[in-house]
Amino acid sequence: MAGGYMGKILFVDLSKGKLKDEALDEKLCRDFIGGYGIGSRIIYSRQKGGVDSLGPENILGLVTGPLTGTPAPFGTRYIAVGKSPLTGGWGDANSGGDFGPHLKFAGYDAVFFNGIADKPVYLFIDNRKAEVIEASHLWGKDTYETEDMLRAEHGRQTYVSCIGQSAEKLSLISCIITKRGAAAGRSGLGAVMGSKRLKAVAVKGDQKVPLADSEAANKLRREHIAELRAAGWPMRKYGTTGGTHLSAHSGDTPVKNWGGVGVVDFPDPSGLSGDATIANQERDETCWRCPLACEGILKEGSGEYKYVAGIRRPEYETQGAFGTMCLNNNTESIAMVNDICNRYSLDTISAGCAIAFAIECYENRLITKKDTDGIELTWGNHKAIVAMTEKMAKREGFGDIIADGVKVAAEKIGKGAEQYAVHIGGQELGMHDPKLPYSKRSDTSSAARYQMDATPGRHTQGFGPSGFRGHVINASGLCFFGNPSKYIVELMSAVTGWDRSMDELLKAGERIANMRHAFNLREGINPLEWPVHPRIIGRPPQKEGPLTGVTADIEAQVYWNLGALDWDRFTTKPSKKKLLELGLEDVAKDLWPEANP
Amino acid sequence: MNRYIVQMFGLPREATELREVEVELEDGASLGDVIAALRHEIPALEGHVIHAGENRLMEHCAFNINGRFYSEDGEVQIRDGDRILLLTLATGG
Repeated sequence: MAGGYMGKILFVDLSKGKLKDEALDEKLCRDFIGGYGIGSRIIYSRQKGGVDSLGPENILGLVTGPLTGTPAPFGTRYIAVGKSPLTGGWGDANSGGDFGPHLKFAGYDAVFFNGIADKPVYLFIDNRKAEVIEASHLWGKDTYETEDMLRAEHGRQTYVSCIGQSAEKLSLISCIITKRGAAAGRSGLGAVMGSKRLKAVAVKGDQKVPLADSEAANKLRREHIAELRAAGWPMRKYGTTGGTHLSAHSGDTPVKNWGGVGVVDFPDPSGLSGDATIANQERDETCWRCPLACEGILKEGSGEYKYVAGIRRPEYETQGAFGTMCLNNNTESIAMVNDICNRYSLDTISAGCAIAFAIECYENRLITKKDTDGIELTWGNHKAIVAMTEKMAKREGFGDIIADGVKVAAEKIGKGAEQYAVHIGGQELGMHDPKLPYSKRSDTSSAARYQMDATPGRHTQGFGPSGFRGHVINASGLCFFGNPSKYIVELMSAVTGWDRSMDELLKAGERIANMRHAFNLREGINPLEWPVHPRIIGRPPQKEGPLTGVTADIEAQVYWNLGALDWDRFTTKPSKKKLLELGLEDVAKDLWPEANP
Repeated sequence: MNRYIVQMFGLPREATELREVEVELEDGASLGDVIAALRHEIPALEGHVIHAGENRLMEHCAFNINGRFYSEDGEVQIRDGDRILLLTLATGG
């Protein structure tokens, strides 16, 4: 087996209470690398199309990459995978923290679950010994309590990935949390875990991740760290929050439920500045052995919001979703809602968007105080935002209406609420306006990616050939921060022992893009049929501010990239030739049955 | 010569504490000419938005001209009546 891989996957049938080890196939690793690459391949192969995403046949996976838990400076990630109950298609969610590396130290590259347990359970793995344990005492606890209780039971060197009450109650925007706030946030996979009555996965172990060339891997680590040190540790001080106050006015961060202009509707973004965000910070926080330490831990809230000491500082996406989207400039309130979401395991992006949607419905009298349990959901009313977030987390009152995201909420409210429900394919969008290019060069997919990625609404994946690199990085287990592109070829070679060029790695990235997309096609999803809310692309364009006159040419981006991918421009099916070129013969048979002899 | 109001957003605004600046440009001026004019009017842009000593935008900045984005000299010629905005591109997170 190549370096970087433990060589074992665990399959857990929760209905039958059976556990089974399988060897990790080396070709699978070469072709799909890890993370959602391996995850999509395995799930496509073992699960038929059309299963209920909250039913026993939906397979949930937690998958590491070959660089997770190695000397690679940002090798900290694992990815949750499964059919998304939010979109009805492929779902994946990428998380940092310590869990991913420790899943490997416990002896496994990945663990997959099918079935539904009769009662709440958790999986515990101790140095390759795995068992499903009854978890009724944990059910109903928040993620912090769950982690503490499991550590008390199994030792401080136990690392936990778990769900809170929102996921137990099957909120479609719930997520999976580790380390009190490292979230596998998107795609509603917390609800999948909750549907299986799987409360947590707890791992411990001291297995060594094999390295093909330990000296080379460590040398690369030292070089990369030296670069970061020479650059003054970018992102260490503020994490992702250093520029939110600028982004609020530059056109990057969406404002007022995607319908506003920062300089007009949110004139004072000072509460979202890096300095304001870290004002109550006690210390930095880091994912496993990451030298950047871009996260933060707060002291006790001493102002209006009395959060306890030790909670996570909010990050940019949360500041956008609960800040600019809601016209909320109160930094402490954003720390409070971030804590609520982390405890109850709600995706802060979707949750904040749901609140913004609800505010716009309220301001336009589609709902009243009677509907909102007396809470005045007005723009910038941070007390109302916090109160409603808590209700949403608990699925209480009006909170239950918005706890499944804006699409479902709009259907429940009716009265034309869908005009305020900004989503694609059911998932709320990340906090980067696609009308603003992502780079100095001509951006070929800034808008298209939101519609066309297998998990719509994602700001972290690309679409088209420009997205292959991102798939390689994600699947390898690396974090995007710290410029991993520069070292990925050498790191992969040093760790795995496979000497591959960037072109070869990008071919794996292309294969991964096709595999994720194929899952959706088999579900009957054609992303071209997903409506794109006009606010997202600027139809009509804004008349003031940095995005004056801008309409994202999403049709051109989609058209160009479909051609570049060799995917049909109407059905989005990859050509049979492309699928065979990538070694996806079974997918070719599924998608092109008429073309087979 | 035509007069243009260049509105600024994001980092250009923060670096200069100015919302806009007026510049004079010949009809058919290039982006390089716009940048040169801005350097002349607001030296504080250098090193934050404009490469020091050069008529070139830094990587994280661009112009929005009539609803389209440009950052490299030669991509566009400025005409009378054009709307010019200077802003920061998307950041990460």
